[in-house]
Amino acid sequence: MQLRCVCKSWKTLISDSTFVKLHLQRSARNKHLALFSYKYQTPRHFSFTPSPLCRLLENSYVTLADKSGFHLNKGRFLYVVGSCNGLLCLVGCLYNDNYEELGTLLYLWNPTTRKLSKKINFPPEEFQHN
Amino acid sequence: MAFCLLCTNNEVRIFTFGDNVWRNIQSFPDVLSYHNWDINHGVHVSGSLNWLAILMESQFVIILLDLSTESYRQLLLPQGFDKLTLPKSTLAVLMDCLCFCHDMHGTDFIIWQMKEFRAQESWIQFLKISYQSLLIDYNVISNSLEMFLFPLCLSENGGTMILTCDEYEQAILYSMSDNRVEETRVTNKIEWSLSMDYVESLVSTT
Repeated sequence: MQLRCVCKSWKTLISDSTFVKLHLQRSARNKHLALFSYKYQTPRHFSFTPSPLCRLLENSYVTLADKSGFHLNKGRFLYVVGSCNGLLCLVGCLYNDNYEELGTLLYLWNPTTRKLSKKINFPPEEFQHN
Repeated sequence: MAFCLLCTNNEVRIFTFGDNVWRNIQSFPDVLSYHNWDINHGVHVSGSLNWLAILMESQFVIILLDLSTESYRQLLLPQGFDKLTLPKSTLAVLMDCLCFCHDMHGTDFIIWQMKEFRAQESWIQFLKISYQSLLIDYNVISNSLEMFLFPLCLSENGGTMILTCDEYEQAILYSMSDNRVEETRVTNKIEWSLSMDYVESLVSTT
């Protein structure tokens, strides 16, 4: 991600769709294990820890770095429902102070680029599954 | 990319990026949903989503949603191993193959693999591991509603499998050739609530 800051032409290249596809093809061979933890404090905290699977499979010494994903506003809670092409699908709930649910939110998050999508409108029916 | 959403009245909606709209597709087949959603996430195999569902006569089946045709199919589980009395039943994907996992008599963890996707006669018993060899005390965790064991991936040569055990908050490294657990060399302990596989990418979120 630091490479995006080197110069404008590098930034353009890294954002180019062909480059993104080629990067994904290479990256798909190096699966990671994503660990999630939820810390039930206020503000509700969602934490994400990636680790290359090959290192675990080789049984090398691994230190899991806690790359905290979000420090959410009070009254919000996110959980992960799936992962595809490096994007995680997050479903969030909004709560009031009495922990009554106010609504549901859906986001895409790319932990590598640390970009979060805009809120995706959710159908009004009660959510059951991804 | 699309999201699939199963609503309470069996309506299914798909969200497509770019269009940014939810649209209804054909309703989910008239089976009982398997309500343990925490462990019954739809699993993605070859352009389809697959869920465990329950037939009226207390039998598990797989409901497959083909995302290209947006149509459903029902797949049978291995004969004799489709009863609701099998606890901790779940679907997983290993080496791009659909797998069905369940507990057996509180002593073993069984993984079935569908060798040829959509061919329900191609189920093979891929692995039977005793909890003893996994160094797991089944009694401690048998009352948990959550799926306690989940096969996450196999090494390319098929020699090692990573299973996750959320209850124990650790990964289990299982050597398929030696039938034994290797102690992982994770140097720090972190809180571990959920795990899944993931790849690094530059794919945009917009």
